[in-house]
Amino acid sequence: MQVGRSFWVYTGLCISFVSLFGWYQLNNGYHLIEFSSSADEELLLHINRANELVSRMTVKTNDDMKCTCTLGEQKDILTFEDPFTCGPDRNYLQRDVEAFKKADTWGLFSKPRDYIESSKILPRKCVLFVMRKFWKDRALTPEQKLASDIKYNETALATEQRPIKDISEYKQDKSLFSFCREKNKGKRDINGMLDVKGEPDRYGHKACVTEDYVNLTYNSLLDVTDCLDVPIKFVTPKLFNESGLHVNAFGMLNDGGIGQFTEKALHEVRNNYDEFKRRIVQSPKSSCRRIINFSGALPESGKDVLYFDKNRCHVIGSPPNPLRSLVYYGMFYHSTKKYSLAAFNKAADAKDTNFKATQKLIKEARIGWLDEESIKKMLFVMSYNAGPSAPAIFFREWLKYRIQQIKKFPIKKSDFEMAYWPKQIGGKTVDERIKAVNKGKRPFTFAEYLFAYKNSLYIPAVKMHAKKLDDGLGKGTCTENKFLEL
Amino acid sequence: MYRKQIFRIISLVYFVIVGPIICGAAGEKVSPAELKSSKVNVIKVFEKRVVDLEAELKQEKETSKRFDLFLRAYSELAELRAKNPRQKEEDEINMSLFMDTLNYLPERKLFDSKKCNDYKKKVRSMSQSYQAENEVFIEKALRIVDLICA
Repeated sequence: MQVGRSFWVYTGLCISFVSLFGWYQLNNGYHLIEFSSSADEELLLHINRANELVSRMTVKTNDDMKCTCTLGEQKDILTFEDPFTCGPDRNYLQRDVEAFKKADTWGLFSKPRDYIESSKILPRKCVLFVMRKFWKDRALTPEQKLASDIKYNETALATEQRPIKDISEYKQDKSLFSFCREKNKGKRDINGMLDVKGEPDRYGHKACVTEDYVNLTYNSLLDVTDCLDVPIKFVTPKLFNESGLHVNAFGMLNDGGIGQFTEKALHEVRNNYDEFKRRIVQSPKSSCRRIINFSGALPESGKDVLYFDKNRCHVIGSPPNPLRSLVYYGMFYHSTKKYSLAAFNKAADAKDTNFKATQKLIKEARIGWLDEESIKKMLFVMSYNAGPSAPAIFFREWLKYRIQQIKKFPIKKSDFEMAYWPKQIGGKTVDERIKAVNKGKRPFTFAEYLFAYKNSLYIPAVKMHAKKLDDGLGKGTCTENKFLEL
Repeated sequence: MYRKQIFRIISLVYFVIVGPIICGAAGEKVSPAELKSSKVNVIKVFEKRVVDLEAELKQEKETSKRFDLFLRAYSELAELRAKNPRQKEEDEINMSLFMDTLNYLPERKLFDSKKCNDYKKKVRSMSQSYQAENEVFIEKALRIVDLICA
């Protein structure tokens, strides 16, 4: 009897040990990365192994990846990129993705979710499409562009030949991405967090759009928009236009991260941060709980929101980005919306009796049929770039301008068409841009007016990105119904 | 015989009519008459009044009095626009950017010097562009707010 019992005890212990060892390997195998040399091939091997292990642990979801596009090996099927195919020069973010996963102890953001269920909110393919479509995979040198044109012409039809220009006429592509490295910015702490005070290094190539990278971006976007009540289909085309949902996007004005924050925008986040943080902390939503539980996603107070250009890794470095940057984006969304509506609704100015309110001008312009909510949305979209009050001021000025000729040229629905792009956009002066619009005697539409007098094509740019999404993935799949139109 | 009288008349004409014109041209102040004239170059007078206001604000030490100086100038600028026909589109936009930015400051009876920093913060939040460069006339307006609340 006694011998039999110890046999089962030892057997049980043995099985437990083997199971624990196996589980540990599945979970931590990719940590070998930390001890390996920096050789890119070795890194790729580890990443692939890690991806394999994670996929074995989780249920594979078969969310729809159909598109009207060619972004992968198969036509009309969206696919994730593979680190081997991307090559070493585009795998520079893999360490950050791995670090994010390590910091995400419970896999709250980095592990796959039920993507069939979440597609009711926003299909995962929207994020994949945006990340793959944004800008270019590689920034090309003038020599590469010339070689590409020559190569293209070898197989292109005579009617589709590209003009071969002198090398001096080809421009180097801008470096619109970045990375925040430990060697320059301090070491990661025990949770895998980067020193967040650094300045990013500019880089030309887009990071490889792997499934892991897409998942953590998508899961973060889902949770932040849910937690902060941000309409996800409204912000998706905006983010497509801004950063292509890339955590390390880095504009030429030092606008950084997924939310493309400038110093002034981050300052605004800082001003409103404490109030929004309180709301997140007090919220019973599970999305908010997940955000709170991710170290670094929510800085202690507004004072910890670093806004100087030299600190831009604060909204780029991963972890905790893209989560932190998206949280800031959500906060910024609400404060800008509040101010933008206040600017639109400004009814009177006791100091200036000549001030004409938007409502009064709408009446004078005889456009009572106008869907004001759509106009407010257009102006709000523009606020993200131009600040909250300027768009409303330009709208009022446009109405005054049109009222002068209202009998001859009544305002029509087509005057609010935002799918507009001028043939020439390089005009530096107002006169040059007016000439570029070239309308003859007909007065400018609102989009033309904004281009000529504000030098702004921001609303048309966002509209164009929404159209790309509608054309590629189906109308309304990733965008709001009648987005930026009346 | 009439030399004295002629001299008196010329002197009078000089001091009453020519003098003020020369002083005005020297750029010390924009006269109220000029603000209301329909033949003036509105944007030029507008900009000049803004420059004058800046100088006035820099000299005044009390916040409340600085706010009064602002209100006077603001109402003159509003009047200048009201009394003149609509100008070139670009000029109208610029003047509106300036005026509409400052219309987020309170009216006189609600103004409290102690809350000046709150007003400043509000105007900035409403008007600041998130691009690197703001509209020039919004910047001019923000500078006025800074001077009032200095």
